[in-house]
Amino acid sequence: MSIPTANSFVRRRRSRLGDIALVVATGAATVLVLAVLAIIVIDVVRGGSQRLSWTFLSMAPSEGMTAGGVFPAIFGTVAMVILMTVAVVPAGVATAVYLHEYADAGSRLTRAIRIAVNNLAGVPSIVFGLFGLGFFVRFVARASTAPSSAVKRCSGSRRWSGPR
Amino acid sequence: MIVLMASGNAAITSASFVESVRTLSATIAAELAEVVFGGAHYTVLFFLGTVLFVTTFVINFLGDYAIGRMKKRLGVAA
Repeated sequence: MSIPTANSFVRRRRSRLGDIALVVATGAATVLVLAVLAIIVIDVVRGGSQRLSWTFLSMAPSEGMTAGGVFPAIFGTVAMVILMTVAVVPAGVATAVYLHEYADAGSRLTRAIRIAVNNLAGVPSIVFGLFGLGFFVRFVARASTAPSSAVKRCSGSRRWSGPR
Repeated sequence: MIVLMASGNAAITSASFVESVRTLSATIAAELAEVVFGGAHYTVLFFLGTVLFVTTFVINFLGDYAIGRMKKRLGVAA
């Protein structure tokens, strides 16, 4: 958002110097971040490439998580992503299309929806995970135990006890 | 999750900035898997969640209000 002001012409020379300084600073920051990323990637590949094997990817951990593989974590991640995508994308896309194409920009309802969406992004996700878990435990657990254990796994259990 | 790992998740903290700390969200994440459902501990975790929710909501609302006022003053379409 640039606001043209009356004396912008006078300030042009100084702001050009500022432009150059900012471009140099942001460029240096980018190079720094990329360098750190390269160091991390090189270190991980050099240290881990010999250990990476099909059995590591396809087996459950064994012997108290000191041997075996990481398959449960990969499976759980993929399963959660697919489940959540199926559950969430229709509602999210519908909200976005409604807000962008149909909603009256100034109306109270639109502002309420925008505040709710901002809030959804701002509140730590663990809070909604907690509320979702509470919902599943209270209302769904009687009917089926599977959803509650899925939410529980996504909202914070750090333990790895294999596929349940 | 990274807050849980990087903050140290210390149950007892001091005012020092270099000691381990613990956040509300990390507390929920670490303890939710171990509580008795419906018990006092479980209820307290929900209280923590509500505190986080209300705080974030109020700050977001104030920010939205400030942005709206700024837009109006600068004459930008909402």
